Amino acid sequence: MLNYAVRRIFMACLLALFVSFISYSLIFAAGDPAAAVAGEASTAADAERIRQLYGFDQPILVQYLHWLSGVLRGDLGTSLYFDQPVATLLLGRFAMTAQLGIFALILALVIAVPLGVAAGRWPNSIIDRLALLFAVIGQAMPSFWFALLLIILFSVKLSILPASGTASWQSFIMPTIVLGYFAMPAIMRLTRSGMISALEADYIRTARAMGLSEARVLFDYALRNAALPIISLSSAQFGFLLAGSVVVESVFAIHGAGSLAWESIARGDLPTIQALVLCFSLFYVVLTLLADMLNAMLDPRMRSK
Amino acid sequence: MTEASAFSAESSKVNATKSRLFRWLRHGSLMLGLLIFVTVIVMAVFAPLLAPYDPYLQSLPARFTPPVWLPGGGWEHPLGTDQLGRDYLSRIIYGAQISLSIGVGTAIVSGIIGTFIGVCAGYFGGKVDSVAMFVITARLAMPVILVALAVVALAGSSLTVVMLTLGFLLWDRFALVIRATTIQLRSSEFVTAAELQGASVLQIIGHEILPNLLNNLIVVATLEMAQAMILEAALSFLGLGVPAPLPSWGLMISEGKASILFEPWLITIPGVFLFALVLGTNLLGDGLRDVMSPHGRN
Amino acid sequence: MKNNGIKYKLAIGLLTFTALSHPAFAGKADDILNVAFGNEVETLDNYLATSREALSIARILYDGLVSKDFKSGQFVPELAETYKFNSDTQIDFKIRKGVKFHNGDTLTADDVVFTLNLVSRPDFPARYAIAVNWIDKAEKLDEDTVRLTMKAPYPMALEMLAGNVPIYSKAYYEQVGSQGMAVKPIGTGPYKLVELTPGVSVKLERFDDYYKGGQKENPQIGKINFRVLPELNTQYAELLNGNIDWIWRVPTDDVARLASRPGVKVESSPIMRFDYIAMDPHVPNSPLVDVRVRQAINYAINRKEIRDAFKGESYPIINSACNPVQFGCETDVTSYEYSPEKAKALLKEAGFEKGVNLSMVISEEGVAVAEAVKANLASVGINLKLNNLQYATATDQWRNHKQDLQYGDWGSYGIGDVGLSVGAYFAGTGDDVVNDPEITEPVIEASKTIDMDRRKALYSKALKLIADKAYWVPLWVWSMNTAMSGDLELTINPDEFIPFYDAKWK
Repeated sequence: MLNYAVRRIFMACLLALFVSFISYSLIFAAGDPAAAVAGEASTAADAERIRQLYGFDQPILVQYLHWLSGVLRGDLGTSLYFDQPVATLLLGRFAMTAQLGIFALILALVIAVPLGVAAGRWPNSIIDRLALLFAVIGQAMPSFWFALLLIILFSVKLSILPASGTASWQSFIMPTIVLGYFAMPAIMRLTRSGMISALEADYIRTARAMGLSEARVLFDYALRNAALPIISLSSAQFGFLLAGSVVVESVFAIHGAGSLAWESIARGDLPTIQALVLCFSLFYVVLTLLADMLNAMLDPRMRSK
Repeated sequence: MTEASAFSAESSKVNATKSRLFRWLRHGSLMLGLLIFVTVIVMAVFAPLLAPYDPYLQSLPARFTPPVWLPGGGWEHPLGTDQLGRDYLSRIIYGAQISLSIGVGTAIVSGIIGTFIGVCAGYFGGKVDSVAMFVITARLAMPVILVALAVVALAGSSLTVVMLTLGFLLWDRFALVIRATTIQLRSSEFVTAAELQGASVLQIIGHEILPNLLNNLIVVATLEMAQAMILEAALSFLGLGVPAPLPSWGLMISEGKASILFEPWLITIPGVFLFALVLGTNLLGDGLRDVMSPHGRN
Repeated sequence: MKNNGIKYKLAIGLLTFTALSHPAFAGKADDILNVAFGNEVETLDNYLATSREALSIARILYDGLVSKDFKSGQFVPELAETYKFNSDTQIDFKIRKGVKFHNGDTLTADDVVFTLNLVSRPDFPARYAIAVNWIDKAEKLDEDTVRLTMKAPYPMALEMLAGNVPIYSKAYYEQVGSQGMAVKPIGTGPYKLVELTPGVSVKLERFDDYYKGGQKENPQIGKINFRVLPELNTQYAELLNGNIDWIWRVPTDDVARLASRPGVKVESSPIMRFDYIAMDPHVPNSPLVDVRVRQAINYAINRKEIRDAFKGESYPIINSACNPVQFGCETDVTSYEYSPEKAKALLKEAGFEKGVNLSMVISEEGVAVAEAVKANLASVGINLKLNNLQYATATDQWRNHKQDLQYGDWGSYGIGDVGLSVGAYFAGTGDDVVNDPEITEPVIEASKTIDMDRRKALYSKALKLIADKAYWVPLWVWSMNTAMSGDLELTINPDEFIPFYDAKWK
């Protein structure tokens, strides 16, 4: 187990290096970061000056190593856009995004798993059909559309919820619903298909024959078996919620890491992009690790390997 | 289903085909899904015959004509016109071509990548798994927007670029789900049995693993198709969507976004079509899985 | 599950309850002006900010030596009570006495000298170097006199000093630096900072020790809160809710839609910014080398129809490559009325009757107009490929001659002088893709000329040539649409900055 952990940590470091170098190079491939930093009313001469002042004219590898040595000394640098230390900037943004992401994932799981279990237990029944409809609406409805529908209803018409901002806990209700609904269909559908396969398996027949209660059969045996792909998917979904909540963040004016990443790329804010990439890659490593560990706990066959 | 398979085992091949056809026809939601899917394909293939106008024909004085059921609408443009005065119905009909190709193309690209990586990782485990997990995590951590921007800056934007971008963007869910399922299957009795019988790795993957992955594969593929068609709209905000005058449902939704508060029909109409297609795809996927289930056949 | 259900009902109940006790709307009643911006306010260090939003806030936090009165078009005193030109390259400023910074310090000539010398240093990362790079040095002559020396005669010195060169506190800047000014700015302006969250919100309140004299002497509103709402539809919703009192950059299509709502007022004010399509004859093997092809493009675009559809009549069509209100903007130039026949004839003459393939770089906001332009050009046989690119990519490709046309807009830094429009694009610099010596010669000469009549003649010559040679398709001058609460009066300046010091409740 220790060996395994060491290997994972080594992999994480390798990954962070790999991803951060690629993203550093991509910024230069995608356009001229000096022009973006100089701003939309800047002249070619302004951009040239910025290029020299910030060392964008040096070879990419030299710049990257310079950045990396800063990181190793614990210095993430200063945002070229906000002129503020990147570390403090990120802390606030990540807190916001993580909060929203966790709420949304919990909401999605709480709705999707029971619904998926029911749909899988009684396939082609009315519950199954309704669950499918519910999921399909979630998939096909663009999130900004749903978000604005909620705003129109709850903020403009009824004025019971704030349309934007993060001033109070009420501000998080609508964004959580939108994001959670967005993450729900995949989890629900996978639970359903997993349940259907699991319930056809021999050990379920055995369990039923042994006279176990239906609830135990469903949740202890079938769901446990269907859980592996669900957990893997949830970890991917959670990542998606963090990085992919840009639209929701911008509609509800929640200033999180997703929209910061998006905007920083457009603004050529290299230190901020790099720090975000670094955080995201470490975060995914932890996430996939957690998912694997959870799977191992649930599935004895995986533990033995 | 066990009865059906027992029946087909005893009967001749003709009877087996007949019974499968019967099963297909009897499956109501499969038929509905098929109907929707085929309708969209017909729209796409026969667009030039069906569309009342050229989908690119602009008429600036007739911008934002509302659809027929709203005040100010009329039968010349049953679904109204967009911000350039183009007939919305014609763009919807032609848009089926683009949206279908994006959905199917992306699902195929991401499905192939994701299944390959997922099966390798799950089947071989160990070092192969480590490498695969490295690639998957790298993909998740890589800011895709950045990758896509670089691709467009270097290669320009086109329908193919959109499909490839989305394909490379969405394979991770395939990979993770397939990997987890393969790990389960790897240790199942029938794989062990095949191994004992001396079957080669390719035979085991081809005959034992892949057919049993079909369930999850179909589920994820139907999800990804919908996701791709919607994401395509999001990409167009970055100039990474299909190039400007091409009609696609995702793009129409994104163009209608600006006016959602005041002219919600602009987004509702393509939204409804997209919804129907996603529903159809899902019903089709579920139904296919039901009638082709390997558990049913074995 | 059951338990959850009960909790859920409880939550709903609580919600409805809190709904009834919804906090009263801010705004007129609380004397708080709530402003929503779509762009993030990056930094309040004026010299490092690039967005109009941040710069507009900076203009009420800081003062310059002089300011421009847009009603009279004259420069009026601000921190300098008087000024005197000693020569083409030297001005003496008499600094106002008794001016306080927000932290209580008194403004001195040292602060002025420090600021001018700091920001004009070549290694100072000023984002818009054009505002400060003409300054050679500043010296203190006596306790309240500062002498500014220019590197060369610069005709727009006062334009730059009015708004673009705010004066910082020497002591405070030396203590906190640029990063401190970004989030905790101290200035002499009519409003001071209360609280700032980078990229999220800025809260200001009136500075009670603000001096009398100058344009901003009488700020009306007690507090101003700025919030970043990236999504336009959210801005509308909050405006209709009464949580936001003022928004800008409202697309023309939404003007009538918003105006019809109760309690909302919409204004459209002419600004310096204009739209244009530029052509690059230096793309390898470009058919745009031929003046007839460029003229054909000018003839083929139905500017009036496109303008009417997307922008409305508050956007006047222009024929020369500048805004007619700018000094030196020659309007008596060759103009190209919409005529597809002439366009086809010219293309045929140039040997392109079989058609031409061209590319045009556009931004996301420009897609609709560009699609209409594409349709116009298609009807005369020009196939235009639209490339919707991010700013950094677009700029890179355009400056390096990789795109044939560019649909762009230019705000001339809000300054009413063609030196900042023609001077920016036809002076042989990295932004001048045309680089036509016949045009660069008068433009460069004009940029060094102080005599206003001579400058005018030089720019007139250049603008006539630009039109004759059809390097641009000048489109139209902008109007800025703003929407606000019916209680509020706040009209933006023609320079596209927001005079919050002028805002008042009805």
